[in-house]
Amino acid sequence: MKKILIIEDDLLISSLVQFRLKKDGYDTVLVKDGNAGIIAIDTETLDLIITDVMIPFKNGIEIIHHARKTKPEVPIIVLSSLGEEEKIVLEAFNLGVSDFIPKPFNPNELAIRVKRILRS
Amino acid sequence: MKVKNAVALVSLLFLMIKTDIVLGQDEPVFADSVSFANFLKSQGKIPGLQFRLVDSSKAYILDIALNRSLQDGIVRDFATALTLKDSVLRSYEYDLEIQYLIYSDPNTFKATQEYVSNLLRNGDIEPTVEGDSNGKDLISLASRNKYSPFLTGTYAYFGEVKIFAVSLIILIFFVFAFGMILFMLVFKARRNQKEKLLEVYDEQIVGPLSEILFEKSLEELESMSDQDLNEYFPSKQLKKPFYVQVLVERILALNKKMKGDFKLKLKALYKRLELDRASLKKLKSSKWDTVVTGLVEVNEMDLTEAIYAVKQHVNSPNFYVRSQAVATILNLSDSVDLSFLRDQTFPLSRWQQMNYLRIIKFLHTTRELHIETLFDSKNQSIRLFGYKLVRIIGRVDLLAILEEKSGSVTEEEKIEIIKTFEYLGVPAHTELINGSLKSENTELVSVAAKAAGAIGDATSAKIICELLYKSPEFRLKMVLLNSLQNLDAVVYNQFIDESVNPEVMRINMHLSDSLLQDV
Repeated sequence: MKKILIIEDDLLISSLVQFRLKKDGYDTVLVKDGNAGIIAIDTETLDLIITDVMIPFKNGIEIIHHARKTKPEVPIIVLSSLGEEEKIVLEAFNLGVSDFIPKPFNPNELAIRVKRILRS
Repeated sequence: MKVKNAVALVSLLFLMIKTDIVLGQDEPVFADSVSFANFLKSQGKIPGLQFRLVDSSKAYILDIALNRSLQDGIVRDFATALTLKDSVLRSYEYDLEIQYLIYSDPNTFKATQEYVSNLLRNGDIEPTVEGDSNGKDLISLASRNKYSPFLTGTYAYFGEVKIFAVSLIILIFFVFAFGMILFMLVFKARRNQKEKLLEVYDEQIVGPLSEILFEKSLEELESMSDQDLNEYFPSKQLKKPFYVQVLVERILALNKKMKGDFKLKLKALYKRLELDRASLKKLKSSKWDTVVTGLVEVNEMDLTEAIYAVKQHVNSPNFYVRSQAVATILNLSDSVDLSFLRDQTFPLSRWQQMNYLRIIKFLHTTRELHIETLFDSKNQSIRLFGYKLVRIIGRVDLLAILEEKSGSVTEEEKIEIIKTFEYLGVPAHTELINGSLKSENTELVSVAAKAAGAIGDATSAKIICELLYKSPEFRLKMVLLNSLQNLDAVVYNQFIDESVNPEVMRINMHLSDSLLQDV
């Protein structure tokens, strides 16, 4: 079973995403802040990371930096309401994220993108 | 303040001196020898002090006939010694004097006086006659008496005003401090309880919400029975105001962050759970913040049935209420005639204009907006907003109405109308531009001149030349020259050739410079 790490401080969003991904048969690890995200990246065997940009303690860009250093093979999806911030999008893509989904978003669309990334 | 301190210091020094007078050991108790002799007479026996009669050779006089009880001629009190002396003098005519014995040792009168004075000072004897004592003695004696308050025990506090006042202040302080601590504890406890409850409700809400959103289609959700719905959201919980509040907040938050059919499902769920009733109820609240919350909920959840209730707040004296009410109506109305905005009596702020413009820009492609309604408003800020809307959303079809109105509007409005014509690049009726060029209002002239450069005619060029001959101030001169250059290059060059004004030459150089002409 593929394992996906979800780093999101909004309980509602994270729970919905988790619910949707579990429905598709994925195993999920849910954390609410950047520090917990880094620990999860270091300790868990992951197949995908879904992260928000604005999260407590460490932001999404720092998370991506860390993940690229420690687990460069794990794909990353950035889920953020800062979708219109070109600078952040470009920085995220430069760091090698697989996809960028701006909020508001459709969880079904997210599930399709997750499936596509994990299949490839 | 300094005077007060000085007075206090002097008073203190006086008291110190006064205290020294009363309690000082060097001050003589007896004013003179007569007062001392009178004291001895009246006092009777004094401890350690004895008297005896002696002749000039200091020999003892024994008069057994007069007083057989005498031993060695010694008497214990001064009055007896005086009586004995008088008696001996009368009977035997001896030359006698009284000898003073302190603890059996003969001493002088002065030493005896000092001895008695010390006894008095130390409180070893008490004077039996008060008549001869002066005021200082009384004070001195009184000061030796042990103080005993008139009121004792609990009553003493009420008898002494200062102590009572200080005690009262301390008591009030402690009561206040205790009250504050109690309030903080209660406040914190309630907040903690609320936070815990929030977490509990969040957990209770997230699960069912996820299930409904992912497991049920919109049709299934709308056709769900109340009983089925209560399995997700128990009716018992829905009666709790805080649970309802959390549920509303979560649905609204999700609605903002979700796309597609999730939004429709959330709105359907909102109505199925009758949360819209709570939102409508908020619109009737007397608290402005509750009304604003209700308006936001109505807006976010597209509660079109609430438009009538929302319209009641469009002209609210509260800035936030009326701003949100207008934004809500703009969002919810299918055909927006904007009459609700036209009838506003309060002036529109720049923030409100930006807010409404953002919504109108989004709506004008899909809905029929009667912007011309705003031109008839009695509120100038609304009319100005209407002219700006024509310009920003490019309603060229309304320019004819604007031109028609331009004859009877204020100069401020004329400025906006001219800007609109210039922005849209549509030539206006010459009277609007050319008439404005003749105005006394410098700003209007400047705007009209700028517009004339793009949409003016030969008359405009002539008027501009006339204005330039009147040597206007520098900025206006620059605008006029720039417009004239754009409008008619021949007339412009002719004017430059004829002009000897150094400012005109400088402006011409600036405008002719390919690098500077757009600066």
